[in-house]
Amino acid sequence: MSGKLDISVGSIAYVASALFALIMRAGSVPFSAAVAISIVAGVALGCVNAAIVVGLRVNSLIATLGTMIAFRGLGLFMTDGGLVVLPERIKALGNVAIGPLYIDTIVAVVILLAVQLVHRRTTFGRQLTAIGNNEDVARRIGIPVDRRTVATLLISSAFAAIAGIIYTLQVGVNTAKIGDGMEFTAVAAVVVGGISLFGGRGNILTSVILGSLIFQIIRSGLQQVGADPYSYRLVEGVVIFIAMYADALKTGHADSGGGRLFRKG
Amino acid sequence: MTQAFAILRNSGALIVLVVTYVVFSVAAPSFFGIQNLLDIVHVISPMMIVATGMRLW
Repeated sequence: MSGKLDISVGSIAYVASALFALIMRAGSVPFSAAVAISIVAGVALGCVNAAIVVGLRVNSLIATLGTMIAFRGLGLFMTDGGLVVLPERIKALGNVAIGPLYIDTIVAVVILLAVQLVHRRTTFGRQLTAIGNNEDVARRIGIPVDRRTVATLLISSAFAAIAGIIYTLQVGVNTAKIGDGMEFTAVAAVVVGGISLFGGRGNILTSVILGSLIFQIIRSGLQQVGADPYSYRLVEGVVIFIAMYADALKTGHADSGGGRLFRKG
Repeated sequence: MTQAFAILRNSGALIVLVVTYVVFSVAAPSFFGIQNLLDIVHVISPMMIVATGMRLW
């Protein structure tokens, strides 16, 4: 909503996943403590992003492009680039369900609802929308833009870490592919779902659910009809392009070479 | 006509979702069903969480 981008979330998810898998493999720490440690590690990486973006005043896209590469390097260093397989008793947790819904689906929905509530009903949420509409004006009317930027970066990192842990539980193993390209698919999903890439507009709840569903339905559908696996990315790319272009047309950024996103932090 | 465009603009993603689901359900009958839909929601959970965090900031 604030019109900025953090593209290091995929790498943060990977580091949190690697740390979680390594702790679980070592077997000396309880599951809940391993989850907490991995989330704290994700938030610590978010602090690095915040220090660069807010402290050094580096454009968010450029700053997180750098940390995206660095954090992935950190994860590869931790795991030697190899697989870290979870113990069998932990693997089973990835497919636990309450009624028809898996636990991770419930976690995702609770997070979504909480964020929607914060966005719609709190001063914090309205301030983020104001920053997304116009950062300079938001600053002039007294919104603490830097503090809000730091807060959202840390929340975003915590969510990325949670996603990394959930993904690891789903597949039962940490691999170097975890979180790879996740940031672009996530951005594309919300734009496809209706949130503007240029900030300030859109409903988080519906856009995240609709966009993510569209992407996975396309992927699952192509699998079911027996399409070439290499065609998935091609089709997804076309969908992303159409959604981005439609968003640019709708917001009047189509002729400005990316407009505000690339001009401001 | 203007009303049709307004509906398309406001519900574009929902229409795309429904059309995509129907097309794949016709092309592959095994695709249609509540269990497959629940599995799809299961798979997208991590991405939904990341997307929520990204769009907050």
